[in-house]
Amino acid sequence: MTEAEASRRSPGMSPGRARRLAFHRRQRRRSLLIGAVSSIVVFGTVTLVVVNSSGWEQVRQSFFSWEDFQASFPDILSGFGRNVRIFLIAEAFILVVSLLLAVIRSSRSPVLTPLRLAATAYVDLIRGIPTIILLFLLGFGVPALRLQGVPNSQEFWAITTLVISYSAYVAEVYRAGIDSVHDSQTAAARSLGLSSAQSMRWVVLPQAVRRVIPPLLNDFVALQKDSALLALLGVQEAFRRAQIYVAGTFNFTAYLAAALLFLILTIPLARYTDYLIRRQRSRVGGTSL
Amino acid sequence: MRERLLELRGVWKEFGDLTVLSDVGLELDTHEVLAVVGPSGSGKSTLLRCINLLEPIDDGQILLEGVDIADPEFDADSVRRRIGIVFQSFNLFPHLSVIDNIILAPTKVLKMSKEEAQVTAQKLLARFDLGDKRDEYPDRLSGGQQQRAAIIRALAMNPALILFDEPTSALDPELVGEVLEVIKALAAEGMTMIVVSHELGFARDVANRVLLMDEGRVVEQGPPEQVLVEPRTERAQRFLRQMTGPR
Amino acid sequence: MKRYIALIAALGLALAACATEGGGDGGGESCEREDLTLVQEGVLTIGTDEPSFPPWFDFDGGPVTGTGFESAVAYAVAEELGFTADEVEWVVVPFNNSFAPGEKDFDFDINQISITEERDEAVDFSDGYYNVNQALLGFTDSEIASATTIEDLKAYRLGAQVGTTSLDFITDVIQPGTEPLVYDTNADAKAAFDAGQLDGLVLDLPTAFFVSAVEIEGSSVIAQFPASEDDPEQFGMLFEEGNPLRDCVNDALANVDLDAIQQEWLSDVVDAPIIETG
Repeated sequence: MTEAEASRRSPGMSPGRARRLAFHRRQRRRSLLIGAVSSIVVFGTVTLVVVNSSGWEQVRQSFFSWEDFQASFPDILSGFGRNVRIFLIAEAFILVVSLLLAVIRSSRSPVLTPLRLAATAYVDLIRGIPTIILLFLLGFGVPALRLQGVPNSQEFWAITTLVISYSAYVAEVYRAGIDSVHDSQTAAARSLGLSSAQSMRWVVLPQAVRRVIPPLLNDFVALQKDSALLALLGVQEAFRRAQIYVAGTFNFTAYLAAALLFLILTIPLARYTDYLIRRQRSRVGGTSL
Repeated sequence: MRERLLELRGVWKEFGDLTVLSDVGLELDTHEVLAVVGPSGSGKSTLLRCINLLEPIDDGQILLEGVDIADPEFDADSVRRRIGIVFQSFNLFPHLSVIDNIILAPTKVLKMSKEEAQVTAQKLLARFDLGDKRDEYPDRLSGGQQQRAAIIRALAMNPALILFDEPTSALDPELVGEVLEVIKALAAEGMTMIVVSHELGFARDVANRVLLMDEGRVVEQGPPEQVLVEPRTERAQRFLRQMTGPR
Repeated sequence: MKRYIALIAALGLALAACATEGGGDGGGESCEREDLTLVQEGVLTIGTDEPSFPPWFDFDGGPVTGTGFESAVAYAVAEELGFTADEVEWVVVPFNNSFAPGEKDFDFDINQISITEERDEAVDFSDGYYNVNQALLGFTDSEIASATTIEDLKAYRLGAQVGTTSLDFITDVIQPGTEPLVYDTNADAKAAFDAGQLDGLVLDLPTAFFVSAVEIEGSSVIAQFPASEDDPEQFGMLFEEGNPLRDCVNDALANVDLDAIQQEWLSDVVDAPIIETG
């Protein structure tokens, strides 16, 4: 093909441009190839080294035993249903309670002062106490008082503990979101005659909440894992079921099976969070959270 | 018929040690357009924000139809629905579509029904050439379109007075014209307005009166032919020279 | 590229070289004190859980006081092996860790550990030093107190510590209608029982008796389940798998007057009704 023919075939494609495009295409292919080869070499080598090391067979038997996985999985899966139930219920309450806390803390109305003080004290106190201590206090301590009308179900107390504990953290997430909505938005809203409460409800909160969805999802993932605390109150959820199996057989594959169930939930959620972060920037502005 | 809509008497405003407004007075009748000009930092924006009670004043009175709205016991929210404001950076609500931006206040504050508010909004949008943008989100609009939408949002509340805080300063030059056209059209309809702007040509064309401010003080007041062409005070003359450049 | 291959091959070889075979010496070792295989020279290292409870140990003073059935047995065995009381050191070993396979940092563990086949595959046991009866702890004025058969018990919420023969007893013998509650430690199980979250707690008989007499008011041993006569459940001292010390401890144990020690520490006759396991 002569130069003249080439430029007739694709108008606007000068020989220089064609050369540039071809070069970039070659570069890209080369990068992909190098990336693939080096990945294979590194991961392949690590795998070979690990699999051929002397302790590997014992580790494989102890942690990655297919027979033990099959034997323990059904029980663990049915126990996992309890984890799912309590973290779903807890999350619903947490989202509401913490939003209330955040709005109270962000308000400036003098009428709300006692509530505002209480909310601040609550957040400071609860964030300083390990959740497991709270769980024992509420799960064993309160029922032991035998007060009238106080429920005694393990699930109730596990959910309550998680709600009390997590609301303190999530409230701060909401608050950061509220603070990150620029003052000019509030100015515009108030200028239209919207009251302080209306501004918060229709202008600030919708933006604040959208901005903090990634950290909210992060906290949700943490909550899913903390659902295992239910085991401490005696309930046979996924972790406890795995532990019972391990105690009887000394094979740790059951723990991996339980971990796998948690991962099946948390990993897709993490990827979805990344996707939301990417998509979000233009709509309601970025956040440094 | 002209009546006194707005009057400021002896308004003072301080931010810490800095005196931002110094004994400011002005009068505005209905259907009047007042342009406020002056160098940066002269207090023009602060003046507007005080008029619609976004900022409290430290001393003086602001009389809207004879009532002192700056009185601390006065319900600010009820005032703000009667005074609209358009900001330099538009401040549209990014999480709402254009039409939802416009009907938010009418539905929540004026308690209009959603359908009623939408009809009014649609008419305004069509009038100012944004009819096809009603369901778009602000991030998809050009600066000029956003500012026009912001003006419509203020109009939808049917205010007695609209304040414009440097409405075109954040716009690319080719978009300035479309926004100035809207403001001109509103003036022609008899909308009472105060416009803070650097666009002196526009001020000359549209304003009934011009206020020149410097360092928190009103330096000169009068018709545009006077303040902007042959100012009487030394300060105003200097300002004019700075703005129009050496001849 | 060749350099990398060589490096990786070297790494692989190095890792292979690091592998060690665990192993014990052949049998027939002398049980003279100087010849004993110990984790620490000149010291008999014994493991048990913390806190340690009566009637097996002393709660406040710990195992060193010699107070309690198992503490007494341990010191008696130590004496037979040739160690004075000062030459005995105690280490803390959580119950669930003790019978997991692997290297141990004690010479033996004594902690109400029942000898079972599964556990025996991972560790070694001494001969039994106590025949265990499981027992049911409940509140004296509660419905469960009137149960007289295994059938009666199926209707209740029962609980036990994870990994114990008590839990196995619930799961295999009683087989209740609702799933048992399972706890990390007996302390947690007792807290739950005290909070009214359980109807009955399964423990070994002496522990159950102690809890009812001293720890939890209003509780009592609702029932005891007699051990089978030909193959009773027994507590044994626990050793790392293949530890030759086990045989020497068995020799020592044979010379210890277990009956007398039992008489001293576990003589309280428990009047709890007997429920046959059929």
